[in-house]
Amino acid sequence: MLQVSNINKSFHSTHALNGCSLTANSNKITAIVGPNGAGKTTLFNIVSGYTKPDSGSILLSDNNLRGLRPHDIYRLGVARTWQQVNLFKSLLVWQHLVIAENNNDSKIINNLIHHENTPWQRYKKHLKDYGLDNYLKTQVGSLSFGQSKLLQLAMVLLRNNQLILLDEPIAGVNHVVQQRIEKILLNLKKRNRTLVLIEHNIEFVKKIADKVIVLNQGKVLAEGKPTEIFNNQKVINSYLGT
Amino acid sequence: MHLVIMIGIYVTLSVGLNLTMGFAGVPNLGHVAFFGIGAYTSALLSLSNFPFLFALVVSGLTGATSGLLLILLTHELKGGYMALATLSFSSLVYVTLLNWEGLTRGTMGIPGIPKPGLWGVKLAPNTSYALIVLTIMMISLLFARRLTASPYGRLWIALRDNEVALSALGKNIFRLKAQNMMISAFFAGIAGSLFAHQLSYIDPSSFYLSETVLITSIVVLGGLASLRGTVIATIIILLIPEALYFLNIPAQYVGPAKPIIYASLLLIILIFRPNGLLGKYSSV
Amino acid sequence: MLLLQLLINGMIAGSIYALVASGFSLIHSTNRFLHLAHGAVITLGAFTFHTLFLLLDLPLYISALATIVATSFLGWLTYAFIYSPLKTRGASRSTLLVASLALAILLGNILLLLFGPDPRSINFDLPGVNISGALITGLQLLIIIISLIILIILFAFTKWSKLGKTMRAVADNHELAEISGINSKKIEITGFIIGSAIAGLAAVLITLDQNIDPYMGRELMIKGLTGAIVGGVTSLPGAVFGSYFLGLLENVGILWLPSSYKDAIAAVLLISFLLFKPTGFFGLNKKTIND
Repeated sequence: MLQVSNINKSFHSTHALNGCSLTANSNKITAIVGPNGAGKTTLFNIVSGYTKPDSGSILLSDNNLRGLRPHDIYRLGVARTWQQVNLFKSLLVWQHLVIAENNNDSKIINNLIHHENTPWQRYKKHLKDYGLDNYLKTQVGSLSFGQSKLLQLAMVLLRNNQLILLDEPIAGVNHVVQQRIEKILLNLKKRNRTLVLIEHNIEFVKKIADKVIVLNQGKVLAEGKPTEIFNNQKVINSYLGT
Repeated sequence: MHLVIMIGIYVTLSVGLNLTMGFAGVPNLGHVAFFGIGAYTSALLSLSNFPFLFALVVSGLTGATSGLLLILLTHELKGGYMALATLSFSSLVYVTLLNWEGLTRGTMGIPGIPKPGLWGVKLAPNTSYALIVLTIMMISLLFARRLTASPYGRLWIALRDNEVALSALGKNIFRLKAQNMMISAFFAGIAGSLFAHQLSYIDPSSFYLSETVLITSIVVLGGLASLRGTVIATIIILLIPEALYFLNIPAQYVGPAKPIIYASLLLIILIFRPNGLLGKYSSV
Repeated sequence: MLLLQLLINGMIAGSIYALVASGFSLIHSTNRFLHLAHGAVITLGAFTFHTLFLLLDLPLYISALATIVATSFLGWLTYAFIYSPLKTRGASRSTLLVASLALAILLGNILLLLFGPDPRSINFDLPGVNISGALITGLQLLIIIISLIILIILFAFTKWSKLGKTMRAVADNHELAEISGINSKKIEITGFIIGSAIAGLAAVLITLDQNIDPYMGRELMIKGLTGAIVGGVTSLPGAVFGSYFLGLLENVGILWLPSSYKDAIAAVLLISFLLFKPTGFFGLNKKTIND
């Protein structure tokens, strides 16, 4: 379970987050929505350790995430994806999975002594739901945009991460890819993980989110079930900019 | 034989540079400083009667320590700034070597560095030293090959491609950069030691800008992240002065002619064939 | 009085560094990379001037003018045949820096090949002045005056002339300038030529006053670079300020450091600023040197 309390963050003179507090429960999909500039990505950056908040706290179950560096936060079981494609263009698909699995690849001596033992079958099986099982040895530069997004998702779901942050997982993808992602995310709910996503696609959010949190001007405007939220006049107004 | 030894030394040195510039994508113009530090360390230790092997290893370690210092100072810099900062580092080291006369004898250099032989084996001194150098070169190459072909080596490539994404996947970026720079500098340090013992005389001028252009040309010609390419390029580039002697060019022209050729070669490769001979990545 | 002499020496050195740094800074702001071969261009100018004025006995003004034309032409050559092709291929700033380094080595060694390593000089005499015990030769006084005049002209040019303002626009935001229809390539070339012309002027003054040798470009480049970085490489007045700061620091610093460490001052200053305050005293807080 993720608990964000009273986060404030300013960049120069812009107040990105203004006393933002929210909770995301495990086994649920929480969607964060809101107009552009509401502070959604900043919030993700703070939770995953890329930005330091000016004040406030971030608790993941019993762990305090504040002040930790991105790789330490990852070790606690937090994984995130990005709006743009953030892969390693010189590496192949399977090599990305090896890195994502984080199994001793940083230990030099280990690498000098042991021979690499890639779990091809396991990776192939994992990638099946993403439609990438035949692409293990492909250079990621040749993947389509949708495939790249699927790979990013496959990478963060390879381990048993307890908190998964998805920044616009279906932005820019075609219908087929969207359906795949939908199915994968819905499957995740049974696995004791906390899933938080940022999305602009309201239909998608209505389909998969258990709880919707609306962020506007750096703080929570409203939260609740999708149907309630999207019929809420205040929310509609915030999108229209009144 | 001298040529063979120099090739062994420069392969070790350039492979080290390829680890930072080629694999991890760091525009490191300070590599030659580690070369110089290693050379002077080894020279001073040998002249104080420490055994060669000890001097060799310590040179590598002082190189690695300097590498750590450099990465501590520069790890947050990017691109052009990194290039400039590392270049300034090599300037600083050069100026120190030149001025700290108490330690380094400044422009007078350090003469009389002894050449080690193979224990118990009777061979011409140059031959036995060549064997030593080639052995060390082979060990270095094997180490580099093993490391870069392993999952760890791919972390360096990932670092080069997308540092932010890598940190999001749980890797300690600073540690990776530090290990990369330190290993690279270790290679340069031992190359420096081998260099000092071969030439038996060193002075600061061998460890500055012309040398930087030389080793950068080797790495760029061979191709970034290609170890095989570095070996081939070293041989080609070190053969060039031989060609000059062959053409009977008068001695006072050979001095400046070498850097002219290396610099021109570097420029030509950058403009016309940035991937070098065997590189997978463009230098440009 | 010793301090006054040192201050004057600092002003002289600072003037020369300022000329070097201003040309360099102009090239950097219009071209967005560090043209480390600038010092080598100055060296070439120095030898050109020496050859024309001393060896061929041409009149002073003609030699000086020819030198300035020569360095401008050389600047243009390096742009046209090296930097521009690289830029077209998408070269990063660090690649361009490496190329400029190679170019510097190339030019320096060509000069070494042609002229040999020995220093040369022109003993140009102008009656000096004695200011309360501090000596300054007429030539040195002239250097300070000419430098200040040129720097003022340069400043006025970039601030008030149409071309100058266009150059600043390109320096500030090159993508925006391109979209607004400014021919940034033309600006790049112009910046290069003007910067290299100033290099030629610096070469003339240096040659009249001091010994020249093929290695001098290296040192001048470091000094100019340090001045530019200390003052803020995105700011032309900053580069000038930084250069005078360096000149004064080096010369007044003799009071505390042994004089052999004079050159180390620049190196230490450069690396300190790069690591701790890369934007210098007056540079804008944009990461304009970062890729």
